[in-house]
Amino acid sequence: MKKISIVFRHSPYGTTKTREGIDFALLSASFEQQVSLIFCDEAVLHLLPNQQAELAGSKDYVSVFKAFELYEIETILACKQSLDTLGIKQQELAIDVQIAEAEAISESLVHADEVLVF
Amino acid sequence: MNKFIVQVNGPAYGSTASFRALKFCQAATSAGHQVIKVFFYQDGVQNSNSLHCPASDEINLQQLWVDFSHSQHVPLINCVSAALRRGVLSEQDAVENSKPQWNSDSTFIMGGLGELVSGIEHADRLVCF
Amino acid sequence: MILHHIQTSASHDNALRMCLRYITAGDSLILTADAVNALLYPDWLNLIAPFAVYVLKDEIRARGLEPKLASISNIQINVIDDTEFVNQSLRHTKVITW
Repeated sequence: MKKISIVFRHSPYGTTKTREGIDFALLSASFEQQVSLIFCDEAVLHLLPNQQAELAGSKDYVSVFKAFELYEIETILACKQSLDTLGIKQQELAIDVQIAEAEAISESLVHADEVLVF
Repeated sequence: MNKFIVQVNGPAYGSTASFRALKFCQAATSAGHQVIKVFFYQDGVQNSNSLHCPASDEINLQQLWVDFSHSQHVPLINCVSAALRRGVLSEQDAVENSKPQWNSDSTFIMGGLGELVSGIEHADRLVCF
Repeated sequence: MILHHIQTSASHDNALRMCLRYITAGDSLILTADAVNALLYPDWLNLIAPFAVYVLKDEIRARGLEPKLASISNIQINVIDDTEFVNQSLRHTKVITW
């Protein structure tokens, strides 16, 4: 069992990076790895509610975020600075995440065995 | 001796990430380390496309990966779901999906993301390109 | 002690900026591919100055940037080959490719 930290830093739908990163996160969790997720930069936009991915020609990979708990993915951090920059408040978010200062994210990266960025 | 798993996310043509990954793998094996597998994900799956036809004075990364795999006995794993989405198919994928053609070089093995996870578990170090 | 690996130009991708937000004292940076161009911007040089910085010799030579690199005096740039990249990936606790 390894501690795998997965960082998302790209906006929804403009690229398929987050979609393929989420696939990896869920698979890792189902393979009994200790998975934590970090949303930063424009990837925090994935956390907004009422998205309709199909309208942008994308698979809806955001609805599954509500199932992170079922996969025993308990640590989900969202970068406070990124949220602030985009004018997003915690109460606007669709799922329960920890709002993290940069220092907390740094610490999370230090404690992981491996970090993958999507 | 240390064990590496290398992940390649860049295509054979259009970015230099895959070339850089190959150089890293060659340097690692030359130094006596083991590359337990190279996992191709995202646009990296394009590296297995055996229909790449670069001009004779340009490098053929797909062939260079095949040569590296054979000489160093390093498995090349393509993420099958990422590959299917991008029109990169093995002969078996073509049969299963009722396609008349396939293009993935048989040295590249189609596998699931579990191959990446198990590689990360068993390697000392993951390096992504 | 993390080796942060940047592959993309800071002028069209936020990889370097995000890496610098979370990097901590004692970590290092390795710049490959178009990421080496960051060395030409005084602003980026100042931001990466507190960390050990590695660049691949082949990327510098490919772009004809050796004279430009030689003129950088305010920070130490470690020009390394692929073998040393492998060594540094093991000397650090992990490699994060941004």
